[in-house]
Amino acid sequence: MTPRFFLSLVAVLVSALASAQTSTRHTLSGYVTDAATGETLIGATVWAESVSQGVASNVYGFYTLTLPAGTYEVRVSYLGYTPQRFEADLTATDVKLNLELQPGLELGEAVVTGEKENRIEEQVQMSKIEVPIDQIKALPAIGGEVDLLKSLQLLPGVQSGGEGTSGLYVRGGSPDQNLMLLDGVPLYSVNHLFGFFSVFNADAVKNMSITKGGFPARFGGRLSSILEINMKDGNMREFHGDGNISIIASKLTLEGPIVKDKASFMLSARRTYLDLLLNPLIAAATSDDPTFDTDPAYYFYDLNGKLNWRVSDRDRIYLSAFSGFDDFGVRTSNQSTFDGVTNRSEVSFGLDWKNQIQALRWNHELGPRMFSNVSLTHSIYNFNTGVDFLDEVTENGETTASRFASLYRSGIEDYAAKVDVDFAPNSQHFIRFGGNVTRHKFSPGALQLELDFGQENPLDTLIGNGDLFSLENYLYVEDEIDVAENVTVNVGTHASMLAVEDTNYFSLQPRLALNWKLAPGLAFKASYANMVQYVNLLTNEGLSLPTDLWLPSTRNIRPQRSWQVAAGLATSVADGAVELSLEGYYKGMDGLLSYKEGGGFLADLEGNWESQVTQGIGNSYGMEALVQKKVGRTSGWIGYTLSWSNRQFDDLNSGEWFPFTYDRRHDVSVVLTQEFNDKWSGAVTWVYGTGRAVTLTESVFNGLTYGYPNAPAWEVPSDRNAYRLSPYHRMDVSLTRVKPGTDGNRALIFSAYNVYNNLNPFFALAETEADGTRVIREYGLFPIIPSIAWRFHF
Amino acid sequence: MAFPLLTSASVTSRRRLAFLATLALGLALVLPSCEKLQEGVVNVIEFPEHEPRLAVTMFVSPGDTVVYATVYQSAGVTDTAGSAPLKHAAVALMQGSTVLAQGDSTNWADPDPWNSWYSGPLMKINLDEPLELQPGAIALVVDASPTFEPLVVTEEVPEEPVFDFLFEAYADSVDEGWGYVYYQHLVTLDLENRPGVRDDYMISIEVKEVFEGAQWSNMANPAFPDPRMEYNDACDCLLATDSGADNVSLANLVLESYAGSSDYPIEGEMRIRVRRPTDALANHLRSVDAYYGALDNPFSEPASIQGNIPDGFGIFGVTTEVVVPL
Repeated sequence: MTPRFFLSLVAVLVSALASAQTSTRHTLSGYVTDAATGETLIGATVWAESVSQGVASNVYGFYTLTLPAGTYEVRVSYLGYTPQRFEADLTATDVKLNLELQPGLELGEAVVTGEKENRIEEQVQMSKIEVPIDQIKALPAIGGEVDLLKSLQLLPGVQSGGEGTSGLYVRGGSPDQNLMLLDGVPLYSVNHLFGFFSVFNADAVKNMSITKGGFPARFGGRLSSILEINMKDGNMREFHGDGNISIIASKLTLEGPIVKDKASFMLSARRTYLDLLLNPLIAAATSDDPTFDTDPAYYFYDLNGKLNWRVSDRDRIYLSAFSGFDDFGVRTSNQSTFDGVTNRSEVSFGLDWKNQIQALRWNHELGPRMFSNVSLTHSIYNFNTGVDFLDEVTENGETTASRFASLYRSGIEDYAAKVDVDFAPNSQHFIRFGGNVTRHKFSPGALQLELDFGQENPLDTLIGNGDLFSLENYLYVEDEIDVAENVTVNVGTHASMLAVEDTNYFSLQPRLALNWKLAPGLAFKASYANMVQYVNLLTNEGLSLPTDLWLPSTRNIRPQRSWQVAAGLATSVADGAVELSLEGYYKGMDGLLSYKEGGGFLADLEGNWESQVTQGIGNSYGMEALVQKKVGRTSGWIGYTLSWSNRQFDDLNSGEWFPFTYDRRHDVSVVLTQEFNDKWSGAVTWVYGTGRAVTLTESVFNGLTYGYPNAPAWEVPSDRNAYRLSPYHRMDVSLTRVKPGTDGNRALIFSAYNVYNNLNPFFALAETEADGTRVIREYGLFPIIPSIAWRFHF
Repeated sequence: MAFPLLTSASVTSRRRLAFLATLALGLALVLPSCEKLQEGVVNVIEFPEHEPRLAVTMFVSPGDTVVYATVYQSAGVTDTAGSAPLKHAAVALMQGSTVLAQGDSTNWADPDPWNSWYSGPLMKINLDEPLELQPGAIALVVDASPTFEPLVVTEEVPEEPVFDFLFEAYADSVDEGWGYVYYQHLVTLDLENRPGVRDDYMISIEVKEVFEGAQWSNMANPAFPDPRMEYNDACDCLLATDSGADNVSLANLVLESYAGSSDYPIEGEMRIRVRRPTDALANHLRSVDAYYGALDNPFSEPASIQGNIPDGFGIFGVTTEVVVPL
């Protein structure tokens, strides 16, 4: 990216502004909302039919369409809503018009209405997929608990991690390379129950989309994907509630007006009751030994809340918050008496992690053609784990105790301020610009030790890494330009800076996307995106745990960088009911972070995490095909991905290239939802993926060591990730029965995870048999898991 | 006359049939997996047949009076026999045309019980004179034919380490109260950082207690965390490095040396021992620590033992050393 490019971009914008001033044009602007709830609609199409020009409403539901003076027939449409037509008189003046669409969806229905004007071949943005929340809710869910991230794993180019886990591996990237924005605020850990569930509560979410490439300039900070999740704003008209009771957890969402059509709220809470179910079982299993007592506990909860206030016709304020918490603990105790002396020992182990965000956002219309949003946000993620050993000896009524305790803590905390401006000077340009300042505080792991053996000065000390602060800023500008009748481009740049320790990193990241309509209903799309990432998740390969450390780039750890080029075809058939896309991509990556051999969590408690890591390069490339039907009683999609993903680190695998652990040659997903009648609907998903790449011990040899007498033979690992676990395949089904009522709907959902009971590999283990022979076996986790859930709406 | 399939009885019968068919299909899918599910085993991974490779280890240092070596062949991880010694092999340590040490099938022995670097059979080569190493190349020649082709591993004898130090007896002792004192000496060490090359040092402060049969044992530890230096179990010493950078000072390395307590003071001879290993040996020592560290830590990445045996496993390690009595 050269300064010349940046200057050229500025020149284009200036000419756009000049054009806006000199032409006789007027603007139609306003918000698009749900007529029933007053909820703003993201991505609704406002289309002037006679001139075939239109826009989509932004993330706050605001639209602005500037046209030459005249009268226009305008059509407004949105997936799942009844389209609306009206006449807009723009002959003399700008028109402000808030539009309301009638929803066409009922609980449990899978029938949706297509939006003809916002078809895939019309959009400049490529590599972006939106899945309607109602469609996600209709999919089979493990334990009856709908999981947004797991539904994304069914899309081409997005892969899952281990069995049942919600980690996302997008186009050969690692999970930390996904920017997960909840109401615009980054979430650093999205896992409940060690990754088997994500923190996103589907009942509290209005909209979700994932962008895998062709990133517009307004996005940055991660290499592989942008996941945007927006919470519901809250019903402006009536008080309503949604609830769900499954075998894993229950949740309740309430929303309603505080002042009708002026202010609303949304509050959603979810808690698991695994602890209530499992504790009695474990207690029963260990009840045979009266001297032994164990007390395990695990639970998670999350809370989503949002306040939405229309301060004036031009101003809105949103206050949103999220809090998620996981707590796992085990306490065991053992007591014995001998010769009048009672010995009691107790061991407690605990592990918890917490995620919280808060966001205050102010929308302001600077004019009919310009819309701004100012955000102040806070995000925090903390992880703690501790162990406490207590020994008590009681003799002649006197008790002496000794205790050892350790507590390990790590986390990340952000404070950020952000400004985004949308400006549509005319129908040929749509300009976005803005900036962001984020202050990161990293706590990369500190260990507190307490030791008390009755000595005069018990030990209480803190060792490990100190807090590390960094300041990350960016500016961006992008313009979506209709350069010719059939060609639209989005050109922009994202300039970012990180100040950490005594080091500053700068980058200018050019972005370009092209839509060339080859024929009616068929578009060629291409994109280029350069991305830089200043935060890293230090994790053991193939194992996502809350112990993973978030770390910044430092003077010794350079930022991660990528460049991605993608090209493909997009079309829709059957009057827009079926969309097809075919994309190829290549992504180069630099500055990837990995533990060195032998490195890992708790491997170096003396605080030098940088000495444990190494940096390298990587690439990923492949092809993705998607056929998606969003309209009709039968909907769903078929996705196929053919991909390669490789890594090279000087300190790993003798410096040779090796496959990334989630290098997956073939990935297939089939998703089908069917509405049988007004009462019954069903869904089936089937996934297939090439087996995970793993490193296995191949051979052993004996030899001298200095410091390890009597050491067993040394094991020699294979080349890194040289072996493959068995392919993964699974089918899930669900059947939903809806019972409409006068005061709301009730639905009973029967589902089965892994319905044909195929045990999929989760890990491999070398074992010695009774006869001395050694074998390496793949082990699986989940058999068929039937479940039932009850959902209600009032 | 009603069509038979449309009668209520036949509809019920068809539903029952459909239910039974579904049930049968479900059972057919589920039951074959039950045994697999009980064990949790998906599959047994088949390994290609292992092609044995030569595994050689030998460490030498000037002044050695005994040289130990192992010559084994590797085994596949599923081979029950394991790695086997090649007792027909011959080894020779050479500088130029001078043979410094050599061993063959007659040198195989069990390890010394009190100096057990290794629990299996090894070659023990007693030297007539303490080993003298000249600057320049040194070669380990291994002839394990016909099992393997003869092998030559060549290393450069490292330069003798150059260092300066300050020894302060009991300067880091801690009074724990009740008259109990924890004794520690303090040593401040300046090592040489030669431009253009990587410098690694193996440092120990050793004590030989006064009882009969006492051995030299290392008592040194870093006085505080110092990224230039870390304790290495594989050599029972401190490994210091400039990581190949010329701008990293290796001066003012602060070590403490345990000297017992007021209840049990450690008395005897003391010495500081600084060795300079070859690069391959330094890498090997670190990899051995990483290897065992990973075995003990479920959160660690696996580690492999680094070596310098071409197309094989193991290490030919050479050090030079300077020892100064304290």
